[in-house]
Amino acid sequence: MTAIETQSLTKRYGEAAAVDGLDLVVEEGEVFGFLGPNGAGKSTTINMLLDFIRPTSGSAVVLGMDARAESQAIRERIGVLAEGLDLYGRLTGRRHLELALEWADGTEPPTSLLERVGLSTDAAERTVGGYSKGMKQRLALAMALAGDPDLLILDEPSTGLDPNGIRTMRELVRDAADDGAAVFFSSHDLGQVESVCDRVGILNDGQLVAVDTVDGLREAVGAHAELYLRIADEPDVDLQWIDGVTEATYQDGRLTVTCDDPRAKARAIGALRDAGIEVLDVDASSVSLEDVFAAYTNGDVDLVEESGDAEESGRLAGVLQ
Amino acid sequence: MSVTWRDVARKDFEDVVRSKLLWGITIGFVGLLTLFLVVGWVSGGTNDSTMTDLLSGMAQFVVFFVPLIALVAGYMAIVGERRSGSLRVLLSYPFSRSDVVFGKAIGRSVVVAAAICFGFLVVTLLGVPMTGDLAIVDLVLVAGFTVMLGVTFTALAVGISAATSSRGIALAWAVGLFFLMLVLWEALAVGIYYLIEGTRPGLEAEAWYFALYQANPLESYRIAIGAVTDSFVWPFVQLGLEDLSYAETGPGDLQTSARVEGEVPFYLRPWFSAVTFLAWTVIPLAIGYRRFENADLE
Repeated sequence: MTAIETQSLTKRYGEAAAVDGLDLVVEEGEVFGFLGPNGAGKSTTINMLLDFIRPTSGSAVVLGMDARAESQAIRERIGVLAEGLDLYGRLTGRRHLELALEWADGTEPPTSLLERVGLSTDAAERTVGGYSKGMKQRLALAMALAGDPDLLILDEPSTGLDPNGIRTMRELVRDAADDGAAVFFSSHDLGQVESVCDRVGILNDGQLVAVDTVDGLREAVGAHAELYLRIADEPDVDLQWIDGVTEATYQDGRLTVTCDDPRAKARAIGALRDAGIEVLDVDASSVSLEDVFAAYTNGDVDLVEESGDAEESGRLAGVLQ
Repeated sequence: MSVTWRDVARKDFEDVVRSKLLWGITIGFVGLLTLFLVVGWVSGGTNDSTMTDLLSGMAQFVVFFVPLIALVAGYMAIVGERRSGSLRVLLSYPFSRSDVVFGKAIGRSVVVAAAICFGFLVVTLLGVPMTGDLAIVDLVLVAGFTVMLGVTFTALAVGISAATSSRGIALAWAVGLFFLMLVLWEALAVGIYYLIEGTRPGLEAEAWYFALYQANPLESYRIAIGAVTDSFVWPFVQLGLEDLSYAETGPGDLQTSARVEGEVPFYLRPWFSAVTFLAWTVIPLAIGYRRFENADLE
């Protein structure tokens, strides 16, 4: 049985199609990333899976049940973190969890859910009206996990979360997958999807551009990754022998290393370090979603240079820590 | 075990009972009632009056405050959650949309009924020593009709809330209907009478005119209380469009039973108020549910 299967799923608003003939299969037990820019139709798709909105044509099946006719039975078995959600400001965090557990037929103590999402018991005694956006998101995530769902649907789960929260969220997604749950995870952030998902579906303008494994995605977008290093003097190290490095050029205190494998960037830095060369700063080309679409449609990736914050650029972050 | 409307009602009760706005209006209502009782007592007006007179006078306030409390308690019930996004959390659990509509209507009705009972408790505690009269049957009947009025307007408000997709539209409907029932109803009824009969209704008028008049739950309430207390309950607003002089007509002559020619038809008897209340409870909820059931919840 598949976790999610859509057939020609379409939602039109007048002339414009928010989702246009979507055919998608998410297997049981896999973490599926649903990647696309804001407005691509990710939330519209998820809203149709949850029967919040009704498709213009086509159908969706969730856990073997029809998303329209058997929505209540579906919602007994899934956990949802919806986009643009809000909680009940006058109730405490703990009360929210108690209600969620009751509604989802969950038996775990609220305290264990609090721990899993990293909310303190002190915070849980306060009313949610005073919570920050990140705290609300953590609480909503805990509520989604209540009752041990077979499928987690997370719509832009990192919204409002700080880097710590994002890490917690990733761990929770992996834990849920290890327990056998399928996870359907939407995001406009390439790094997030890449770091946690098994397979990725790329949505643009309501249409599925590609479905690929994360390794396939890495290859497609990492074909021409560039690394920019600030170094005082021209290094007397030859980097081109490194596996995956295609070119290294030095100009005006900046070394540009071109790689056809993103992992080669770390190797290049390692080689410089081994040679005792001090790297003053590190920047990397970041791959935008437009590049990803281009990679799948034209087979070509254009690079945009951006400041490489270690927390944000997923691949480098792991290497530098 | 699956979830039901009871879970929605319970959650909603917990939530709404903590609303400061609702408490503010309830306290305002009870405060005004108290003021009304104390002023009446100090000025000697209630010295020779009975609990029944007190209840009859109170009804005039009730037709303004109880619908106000109920509409405030109800008009945001669903559309508020829909706009804020908490409905998306609620509906991610296995609730049907009818669970949401009926759970909300019941949860909020309980809150409104509790506020009304609180008001009547205060009236009893203050009124009994003042009048030296308990009139328990009248008290219970008037309280019962008032709770019914409150529930009716709560259901109307929740119906509006389910039917609309924006807070502004829900507010406009709630305010508009309230204004129509409280202020403009007389103009509407007299206007229709004039169009059909060619004259304004006098002291005696066709039975259907009174039926139309009493299709307004506020009027229905007024007449029911008038029957219980055997008095004429003055309306909250009197436009004076009918062709009669209130100054020259005694309250006894103004009761509907005295104004209809011949036998009073069944639909003008006081118990028919319950039918009016029921209609104003069921129809708005049904319309609201139908629209909500078919709505795209963006």
